[in-house]
Formats: sequence, structure tokens, C-alpha cells
Amino acid sequence: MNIHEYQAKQIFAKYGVPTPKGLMAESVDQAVKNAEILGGPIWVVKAQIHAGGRGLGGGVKLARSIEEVEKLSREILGMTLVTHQTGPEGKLVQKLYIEDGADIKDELYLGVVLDRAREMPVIMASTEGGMAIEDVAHDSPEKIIKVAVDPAIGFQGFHGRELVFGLGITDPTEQKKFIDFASKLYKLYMENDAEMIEINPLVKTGSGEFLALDGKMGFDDSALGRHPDIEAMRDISEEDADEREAGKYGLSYVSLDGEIGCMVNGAGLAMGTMDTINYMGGTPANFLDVGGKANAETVAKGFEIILKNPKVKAIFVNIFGGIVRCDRIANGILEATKLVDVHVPVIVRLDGTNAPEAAEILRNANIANVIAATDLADGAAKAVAAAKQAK
Amino acid sequence: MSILVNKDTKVIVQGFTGKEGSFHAEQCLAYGTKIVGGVTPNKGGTEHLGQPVFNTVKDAVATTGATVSMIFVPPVFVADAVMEAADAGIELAVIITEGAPVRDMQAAKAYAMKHGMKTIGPNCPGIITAEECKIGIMPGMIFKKGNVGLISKSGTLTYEGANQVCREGFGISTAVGIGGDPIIGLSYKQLLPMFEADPETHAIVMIGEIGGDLEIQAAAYIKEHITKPVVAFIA
Repeated sequence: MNIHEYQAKQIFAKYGVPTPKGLMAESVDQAVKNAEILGGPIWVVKAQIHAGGRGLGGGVKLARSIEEVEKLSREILGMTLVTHQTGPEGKLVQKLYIEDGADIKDELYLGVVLDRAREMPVIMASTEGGMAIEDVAHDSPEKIIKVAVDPAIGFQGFHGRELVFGLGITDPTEQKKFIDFASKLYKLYMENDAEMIEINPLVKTGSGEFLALDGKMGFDDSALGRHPDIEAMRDISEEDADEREAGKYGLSYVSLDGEIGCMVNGAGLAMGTMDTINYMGGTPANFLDVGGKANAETVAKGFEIILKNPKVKAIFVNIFGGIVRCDRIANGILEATKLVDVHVPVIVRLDGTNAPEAAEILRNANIANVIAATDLADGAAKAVAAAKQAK
Repeated sequence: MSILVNKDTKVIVQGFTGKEGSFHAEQCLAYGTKIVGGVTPNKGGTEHLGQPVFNTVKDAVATTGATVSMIFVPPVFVADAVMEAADAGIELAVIITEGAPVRDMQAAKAYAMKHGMKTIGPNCPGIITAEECKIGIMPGMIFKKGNVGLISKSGTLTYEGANQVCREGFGISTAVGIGGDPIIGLSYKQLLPMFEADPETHAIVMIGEIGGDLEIQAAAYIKEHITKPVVAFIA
């Protein structure tokens, strides 16, 4: 789960990680009020969406008067912001963050993520703040300092020294401030089961203070149960409506551009199915993993979600039953055809646990547009042929 | 021969009497796996599926001599269960549970390694040595005995892969579903040399998935150290 910048900064503040003062607004009036409370003389009006690159997309602007705050808030609130992370359709800006302007001397980068290879969190820092870290990693990897922290010992002095010497921070007071900043960030990463934290830029001000000018946080979904305060920060308007609806039924759904709807159990097989469809000359319309607890209701829901997409010309149901029993899926397909108007051919491949029973159920039901397939390749070929025929 | 587990492997189940634990332990017993008991706190001294139940893994190991544990406890208790198994001298923990927090797994795996306990998973179908020993949730009937070792990140692609291997007239020596979580136990790099050393395995199927760079590491390792043919698919 991801949160907004203003929420990340609330967490930072709780841990004593310094940030500029700021207030969230959902209306232009509120934005103006916030600006008055903050007092100026310089404010930053920032679009709050779950995507990076907001500045380049025109979602972050500097204001030198209350009037300018009002004008910029009117422009940004309600705009559809397109950044390199939103996709071409962009994201609607529904919240603003009004923040004190900062006296920026240097722009740095600081982040914490899990290093899968070392199996521990790694603190990443760079002098190249304000740029996409992916670009820095690509063009000048030597400018990224990585310090892995073993949670068994926690953040130690030497971790801090590696960071400040790596960044070229030489003033002892500044070193102390930066190390304190990084250690607090590590602490809040661990205590909140964060998946990633990114501060880009982290700025050094004219007076030698370090401030988190931006803040991005993502959390381990599996751990949200023990963080009700974080869960409460969920902004459902930032999530894809179909994906959210699917999630309620234990389905994992991602919409794509192609013509063949897919319903598969297991993420790996779902991707393998999409690969096979592509290989056979077709295009998948979605990724849909029905998970391990598929039943008639979830399958019907899956059909409903897939068929909302008008581009779908055929559906390929590919189930390899391990925990999922194929007879349940077969019943789900029958049930779904009663609940939902399935107006495209459905190619069904059911293999594994209770596959013969499933085949029997489908044979007896004898539904006109349900086509049986014997294996993955056969199913994909039939789905591609059906989609081509429908054109 | 095979790798890690065979017909003589003694297995206990942590989370033995729960719904999932019961269902799958029963399936494993039916497959022929030597499940010699299970652990459910406060149910020690009772019997379940004809096997003794213990309060702690230490008790279970002391009485049964089990070397492998199959873990079915709920997500937030997984780390505790893994560390208990390591502490009790279990040699291999197969963690089936899905949804264990990453931070927990980090700590649990570090502790397991310190104690020399191997782990498989979490969030995986488990391990099976065809027609000898199934420790996990895979449909046993698709794994015909043969000479192909299989390693897969994805659960259902483990089944798909094994099924295709068997349909082509070959069979499986051992198949391991390693799981695709950020922190996992045994991975390609640890399992490949085991298959290389296993005389019963003549070829290896490796199935990967996007996310992380384990497959890249595995490819480099195969080039350097593996002489048996490896067929790889990355979804």
C-alpha cells in the first residue's frame, strides 16, 4: 500500500525526521487558509497523487503571495496530472499540500528499501538529489551509496559514517545531523513494516539543516494488520476501481490492452498464460489470478470484471488445480453464465485436482459458447482463434 | 536417490490441527509421506489423523525423531514457528503459509541460517520427491517418478511444468516450489548443486518469474557449475 506525501511527512514528524511545515487541503479555500496559517513568505503548492515525477508534470509550483497560492491551487486541484509513473491517462488531483518554501543549498537523495540479495534493508543515499534515482543508477552508479543494515544489530555509528563520508559531508555538526536523520528514517522503516521510503530531494538548507522536502512511502500489505494507523491512511480513490473490486473477492486483477480475457489460478501460471497467448499471436486483455480459494461467486465476479472491458473478444479460463478444485471452478463457470451475460466464447482448460469431475460437469451442462481445451497450448491457440474470428 | 526428502524422511506439521494443516497433512499421509506427528500448543497429548500431537516442536522432535517440519500456521505466527523449529534442531522447514510479513521472514530466516536449518518458502507449494514423499499442497498424482529435477518460483507453474514433463514421457525426481516472496529460503543457487550431485536427476527444469534477480544469478551459476542440461522458462 502506498500513501501520499503529506501522510508520509506526518509519520516523519512523529519520528523527529525534519520536514518543512505544511498542511493538506481538499479545496482552494482550504489551501488559502493553510497558506495564511503557515505565514509565508514563500509557499509550495503540491499535488497529492500516488506517483512520482509530479514536479516535471506541473503538479508542484512555487507561490510568492497568497493570491498566487489561490491561483495555483485553482490550477492544480482537479487537474489530470500526467507523469512518467501515472501512465498516459494521468491521475486526477484531489488533494493539495501547501508547504513552507525552503532555502535550498544542496539537493540529496535518501531512501530505504529491502535488498533482496542480502536479505536486509539497505539505505541508499546520493548527492544527485532531485533526479530520478533510476537514471542515476543507470548513468552514474558510483554516485549511489548503499549501506545495508542487519536488523539484528540495527543502525550503528559505522552505518552513519559510511553515509556521510560517502556523501562528502565534512562539517562535524552537519555529519551529526545527517546521521541522526538517517537513523530515524531506518527506525521508522522498521517499526512501520515499510516496503520502501524515498526522500527525493532531501535538502540541505542555507543554515546547514537537513529537511525532507519530499516523502514517499510504501508498506508491506501482509503487515498492515498490525498497523491500523497506517491502514487508516489508505486513499481508495488512488487505487484502480476494478482492481479494488476484484480484491474484495480475493481476485488479483490488472487491466491490459489486448483482446483475450484471462482467468487463471496463480500469478506465475497467469503470466505464463499471457506469455503463451502472445506467443500464439494473440493479446491478453488482463491479468487475473483467482487465487487459492476460488468458488462459484469469485469466478462469476471474475467474468463480470473481465467483461466490463469492451475490447474482450474471448475468455481463456486456465486452471491447474492444486488447492483449487477444478469441479468448483466448473460449477463457478456454470453459475457465472447464469449471473452474467457471457457473450463471448469461453475457452476452458481445467487440469489437476478433480479435473475429470469438472469435465463431466461442463459436458453435462452443454453451454453453447464454452469450448473445452486439453492443455495450456491448446487453450491458448483456441482462444486466439476465437478472438480472431470475432473481429 | 533424490534431493532433500525421500520415503524415509520423518515429518512433523506445525499448525497440525488447523483446517489447512489437517486437510493437507491428510493428503500427504495418503501420498505416503511419513508424517510422524504435529504441533499445536495446548493440544499436546492428543491424537490427530492417527498421529501424536505435541505442545512444542522440541517435544515432537524428541519423541518422533522428525527432521523436517511442514508449517501451516497463520501468517503472523510464521516467524515464531520457523524459529521454534530451528531452535529444536529441525533440519528443513517447509513453509506453506501465504502472507507472512517480510520483516518477520527476514528475522526468521537469519535465525534459521544461524542454526543450520534449511527453509523452503514461505508462500510456496512445498517439495515433493515423486512417489515417495510429498511435503506441501501440490496435487501428488501429476508427479510421475523420473529423472527430471524441477525448481519453480510459482506454485501453479510447478504443476504445469511437472505435468508437461510427464506428458512428454519423462518423470520427476524431486520438485521444489521455492516461492516468490521477497525473502525466501532455498533458491535456485542452493538447489542446482543438489540436483547436479543427485545421480537420479539427469536434467533440470527451472521456472522463474519476474521480480528480483535470482534467475540472473542462477544463469551465471549454471554456466559455471552445472553440467546437466537445464531447461528454463521465466514467466
